[in-house]
Amino acid sequence: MLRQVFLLTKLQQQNLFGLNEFRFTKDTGKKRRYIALAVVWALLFVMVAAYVGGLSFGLHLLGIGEIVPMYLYTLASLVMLVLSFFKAGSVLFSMKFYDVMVSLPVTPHAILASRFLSMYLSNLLIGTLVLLPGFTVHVIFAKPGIMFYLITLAVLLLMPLLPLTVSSFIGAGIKAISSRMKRKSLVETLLTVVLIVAIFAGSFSFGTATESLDMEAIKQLAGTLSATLGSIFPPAMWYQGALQGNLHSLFLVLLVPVLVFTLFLVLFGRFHQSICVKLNAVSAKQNYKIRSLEATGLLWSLCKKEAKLYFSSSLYVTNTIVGYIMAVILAAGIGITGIDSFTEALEMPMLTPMITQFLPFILAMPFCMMNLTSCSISMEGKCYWQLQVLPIRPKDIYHAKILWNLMVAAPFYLVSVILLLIFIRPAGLLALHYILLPLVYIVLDVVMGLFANLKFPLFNWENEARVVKQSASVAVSMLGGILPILIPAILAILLQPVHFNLYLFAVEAVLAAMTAVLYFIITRKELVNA
Amino acid sequence: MLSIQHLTKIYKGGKKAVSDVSLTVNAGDICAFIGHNGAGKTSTIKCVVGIHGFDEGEIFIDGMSVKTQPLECKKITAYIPDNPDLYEYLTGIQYLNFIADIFGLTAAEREDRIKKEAADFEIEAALGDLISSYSHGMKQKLAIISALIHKPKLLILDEPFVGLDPKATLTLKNKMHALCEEGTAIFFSTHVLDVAEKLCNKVAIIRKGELIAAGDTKELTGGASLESVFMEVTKEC
Repeated sequence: MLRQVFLLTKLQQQNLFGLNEFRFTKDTGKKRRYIALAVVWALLFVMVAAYVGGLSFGLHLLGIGEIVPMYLYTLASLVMLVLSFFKAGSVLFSMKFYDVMVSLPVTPHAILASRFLSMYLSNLLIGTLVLLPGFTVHVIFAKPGIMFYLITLAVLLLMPLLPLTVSSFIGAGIKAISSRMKRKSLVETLLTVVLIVAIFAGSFSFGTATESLDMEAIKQLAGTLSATLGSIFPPAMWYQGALQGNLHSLFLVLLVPVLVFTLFLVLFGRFHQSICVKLNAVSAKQNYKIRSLEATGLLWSLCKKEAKLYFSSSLYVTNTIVGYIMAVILAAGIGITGIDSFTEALEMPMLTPMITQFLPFILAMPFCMMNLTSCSISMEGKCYWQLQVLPIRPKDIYHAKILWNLMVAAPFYLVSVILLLIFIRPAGLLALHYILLPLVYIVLDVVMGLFANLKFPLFNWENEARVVKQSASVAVSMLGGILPILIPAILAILLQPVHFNLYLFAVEAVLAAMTAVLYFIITRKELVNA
Repeated sequence: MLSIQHLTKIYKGGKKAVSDVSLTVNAGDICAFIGHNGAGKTSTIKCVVGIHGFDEGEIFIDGMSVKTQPLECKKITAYIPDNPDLYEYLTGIQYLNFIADIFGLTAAEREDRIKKEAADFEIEAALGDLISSYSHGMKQKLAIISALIHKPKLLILDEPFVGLDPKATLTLKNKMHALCEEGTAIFFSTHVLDVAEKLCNKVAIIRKGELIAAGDTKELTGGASLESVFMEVTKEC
């Protein structure tokens, strides 16, 4: 059994980030694309490292360095939970190669265990990368003894189990419910989106409720902050206790993840195969009669196909729509609580006018976190040949992909902008920028996403998670979406332009010009070879 | 209708899949393209239909270059791959409607043609179901229908009989004959030499990327079976 699990896990890990393809491909262009992908991921890692390292440094500067380990533990667990939450369902219940595997002399339990192990290893890698810079700073400042290293190493190895259990439990629950429905993918998408909204809405209300408390606590005593963190996530408190020599806490932080995960694995193993079978049962009525058929224009027809492709994958929908939902929640949150209450909580009421001015940048952020177009070419996958052989201009294909992304973003954009305009009531020209700036950013992001996907297409995938979560075009598009927001926003803070509205017009003009250039390049591009 | 002139295709990494291949398929011809696995059949076909670019040579469809007038060439060509990976998230009828939209068929045209082809291939009842629920053979039938509804001048098929049941195979052969009589040129790859011999008036044999024999089926076989000719000409020197 162990050997089977090892072999199956090895097989899955060989394809992690396309490492095996990079190793064996003779296509130099492909190799270059993988190297570019590695550079982009390295850049993202540097950004995360700077954030985590800075956080650790800041807490030490405030004189509350002792809470750094538990803080980092909570942060890493949260990152792992979010990342595995989106893909747990699709990895655990994937039927790709399942029928091939079950025909081999391996047990279904070994297949399941190997899938968990693959996710565990990915999470461990991510967790280590998140924690490493923060712990390095902490070690430099705190100079802990040998026990710190031993306990942290043990905790680190077991840390992915809890987020993995929670995300798998949720993923399995959603899959189990949707497997009973006729429109499985739609139900799965809806349930996931509802859950995301609930999580964001919950975290936002929690954030606003505890904002003043936390800020006070940070200034006054680390103990309150530890208690707050511990109440949110008890394992972080146990880890803290273990570092302080509490044996009871050490047992808890090491045993609870193992016990919870084992219990889940036993229960889950019973239902795994039946859920898989139900999920992959496709209903076929076989009673169709051709009646009147409607002719549609080329662009609209391509757009309809795009919509069907989009809604056929719950992973694609949930990963790309989350930013748009966050934008609405952000707008509603800011609108309802008001900028004043936020700045008062920070004890910096003088920031109110500045935040009012910068709100269009802030609103653009979630919109540009992720787009549909950065995956839309890759998502064609094995069917891409059809676009190549049909008499369609590449330009029309690109237009349909851009248009569909804008159609998805439009309602979220309208609702969030209207909410801000109603609640914040920006004066004069600033109101126009509330409408214009996020719009310009959305269009740029959508066009840039398609540009990135044309540069880094990926067709040979087995699981859509590889395209939606791990592909180069997505990473490039994420960076490309955030930098055009950060740069002018930081410049505005540094330069403090006298005519802020004029400055925003200039930013919008530059962004529109960038969009036009990218659009010009894209629409002259031939379809890439698969 | 199809003129391939000195076609050479080299894959990234340096592998020469097709080397200096020249052949012609006229209107009304049914030409079988035969060769061992990896001989270069699919690579040649993919160059013709626009999936692959190529390094040397020219390909003309109805006098138009696939390099400079790809859209015009695609408008009169239909292609059925060896493994029909179709949009599984569409129903059969949605897929056919999509193809009809792309080729600009009127509502009446598509209705008539889809009805006829679906009835011939006995697939009408399944057209309301998702393609993901189809068997390999049903997908193949759907791909064939999608290729036929826009009445192409050039029909290119890669191993079209794989996965089809005997009745559908016969239907397809009859369709190919009928199309050929209407002036459509048909170029298809196959491993079934018996079918090639009976169905085609022309045969082209490829070995290791090079065209080693091409011409009229009867002239090429000279009374012998195509199988024996094929084994003879593809024998390693």
